[in-house]
Amino acid sequence: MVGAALSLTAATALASPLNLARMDGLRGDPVHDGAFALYWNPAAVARPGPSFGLHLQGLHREATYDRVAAWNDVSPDEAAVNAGRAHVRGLGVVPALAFGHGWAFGEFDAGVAAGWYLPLAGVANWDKAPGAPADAPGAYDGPQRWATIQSRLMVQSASLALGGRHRPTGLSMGLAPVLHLGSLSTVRARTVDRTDDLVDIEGNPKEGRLLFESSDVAFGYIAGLRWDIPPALLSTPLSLGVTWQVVPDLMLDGTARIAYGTAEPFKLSARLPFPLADTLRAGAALGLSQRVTLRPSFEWARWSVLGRQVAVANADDTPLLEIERDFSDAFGARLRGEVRVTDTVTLLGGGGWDFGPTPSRTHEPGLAEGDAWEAAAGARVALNERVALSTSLIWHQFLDRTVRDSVQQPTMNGVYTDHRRYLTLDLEVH
Amino acid sequence: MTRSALPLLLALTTALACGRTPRDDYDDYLSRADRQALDTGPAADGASPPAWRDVTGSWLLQAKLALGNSIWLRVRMCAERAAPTQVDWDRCDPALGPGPLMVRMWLDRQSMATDAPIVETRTEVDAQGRFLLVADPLRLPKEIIGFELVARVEMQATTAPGGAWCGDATGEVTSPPGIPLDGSTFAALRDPDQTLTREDTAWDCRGLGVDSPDAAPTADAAPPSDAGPTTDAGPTRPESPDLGTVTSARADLTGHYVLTANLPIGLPLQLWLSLVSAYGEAPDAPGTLNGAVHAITAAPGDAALVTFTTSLSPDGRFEVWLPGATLQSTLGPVEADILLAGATLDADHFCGQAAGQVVRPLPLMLDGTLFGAQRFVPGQPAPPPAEALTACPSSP
Repeated sequence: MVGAALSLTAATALASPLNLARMDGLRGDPVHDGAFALYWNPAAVARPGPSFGLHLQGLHREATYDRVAAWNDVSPDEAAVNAGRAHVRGLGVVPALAFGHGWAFGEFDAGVAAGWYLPLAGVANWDKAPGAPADAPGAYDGPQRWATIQSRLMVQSASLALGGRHRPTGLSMGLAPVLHLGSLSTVRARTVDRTDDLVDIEGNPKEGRLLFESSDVAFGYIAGLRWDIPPALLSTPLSLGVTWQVVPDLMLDGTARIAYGTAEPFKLSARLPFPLADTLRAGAALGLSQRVTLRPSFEWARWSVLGRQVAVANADDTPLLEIERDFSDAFGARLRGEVRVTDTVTLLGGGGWDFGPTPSRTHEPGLAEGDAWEAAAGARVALNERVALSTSLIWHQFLDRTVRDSVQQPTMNGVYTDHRRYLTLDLEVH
Repeated sequence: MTRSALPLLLALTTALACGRTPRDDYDDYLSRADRQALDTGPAADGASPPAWRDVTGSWLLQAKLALGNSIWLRVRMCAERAAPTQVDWDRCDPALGPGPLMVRMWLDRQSMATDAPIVETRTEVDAQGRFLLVADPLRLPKEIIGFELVARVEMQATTAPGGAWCGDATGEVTSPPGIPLDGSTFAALRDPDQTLTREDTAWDCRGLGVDSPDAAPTADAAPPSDAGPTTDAGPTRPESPDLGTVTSARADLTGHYVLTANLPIGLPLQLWLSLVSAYGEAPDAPGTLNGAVHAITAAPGDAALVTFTTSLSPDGRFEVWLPGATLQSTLGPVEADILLAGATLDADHFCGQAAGQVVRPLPLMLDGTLFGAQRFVPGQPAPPPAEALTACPSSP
């Protein structure tokens, strides 16, 4: 259900729906070595000295869904309220904070870092349709309302990372236990029989609303390995990193408020299992010259865990909402590069491709992402030896998608467009 | 603590996202649809068409019986769980749509938590919010309406806007027989904490501000009556019962009597009669009988319910016509047009037959009602109906 409507800022940095982790912009990858290593690769927190990172991410999303009447068995007399073009546009700001310290012990380095960030989030508030027929009170919420009207998903994480490095070999490893605070609030149109009927056979209003507000707390962890290949082994500077991020399945528990047809609205305790994908990331930083570094990265997110979402009443497991997901694993690849144009200014750029997890048949205006490409540019300015400021602009364009095989109830066939832009600003002290 | 911190953190992280929440959209829809959320109180409108509403939970029900008596019941309805009739009464699951519910009823003075229900039944709420409650048997102890009642009661209910339900009741009284239920009405108000009082309740749909599906009587309308029309000229005196088979003898009836009658519905009726009789000196001279009728529970000095003057035949027969009399009975106040035809058995006993009709609290023809009377001392216990003279010895 519920998960259903997470869209707006549901961005994908790499191949994970809802992924908002863009700490340190274009330098955010498994070979990141700043304070946000506690997320990108805890092995890199083992760096002597203090570190601090402050991240601000501004994001903008604009998406449309054209619910085609003929593809969704919408009768002509209901087309004005159950078909047509829906639009969502939104802005958001996401902060993150991390700090740490490292020490040298002979040939070994050790470090610790703590931080708070949002790895996953989605806020979507679809535009209203003020011109909708007044005799259909639900139509004001737009033709996409059967999948989502507005949703807010937040997964906030607090983490404490520990890392160690053997300096002569360049090998390091780290582990970051993570406390996740998840919350979801979403509302959608709903009928008892999962149709988009406005009235029943006797002409009584049938459309209703389902609001689900919930939260959960869970623990996960991120484990990382890193190898800064010693010059003795390779003259070209090369760092390799790999991380395994284990995200717990959330059991979002809260209250469902339901108004069916003309029935008296009621509320009840309910829960929604929300499995989240574990993620494998791998990346490298290859110094092609003293001024140019390439940063390829790869990500695999196990979204196949999200098969079918069913929100149920806590009292007796009565299904309140069933949403077909049938996600597949998601993959993403990036190639980014850095060019140090002066001693203090470095230009950043890159691009990538995501293979999204959502099949056409379960695509809907809420939680769904298909394939997408990304292009980005940025800069990093060293204010002094210890302080640097960086920024990046990322354009994330999803391929337009035409869906005619929807298995959602009611069906969500139609044409989808989606693009997102992210502007990151990072202050780094090390 | 972590969960309580979520809203603050969310506010920080979504500062620019938007000010509206999903809850706002939900509430706005209810407003547009002229609906009101359950947790913000009941709706106040009364003109919505019949529709399904969740009626699970606890209710205080008032039923106005055709007799005129009101009874109050506590009703708890809960959705079935995995299997039919399987209910967790403590948790009382809500209904998610039309379907079966389990129902329990208690007297309003009882505790729903500790007392056994007087009725447990099952009902099915349809898509229009209608359901039939069958209480079979419904046993009411004597102190509720003045006599013990056992009945099969069928309450045809419809849910009303604002979280209430109401309707008309029919059925059959098995004990005592003959009491009609048709015309009874009821209404129930949600009372989750058992805080409502009898004064808070209504007894029909109009009392809730909605129309009964079956045109229930209005709150202030008279109960239905089969007594036939009355005119401004007053009730018509019925034909005199035939006491030809009863031997009557002239005797001085002056004194106090307890009159016991068995009404056609099987209910005993006892009255206290104070009589003064006088005959002419001639053996065949007629006489005069003056009387006052008291409730059997009245004490000396209490005002009479009605007084009368009639004539005595030379052999001690008399007729007393009491149109529009208001008597106090075990049913409560009784309005009746009563003709008593009596025969004197001896100076301590008389008997006879009644005619006429009871108008309130229930329409009841009195033809064929027998009675007997025997002397007693006011202020002392009257003989119980089972031990009292209730008919003439020679009566068929």
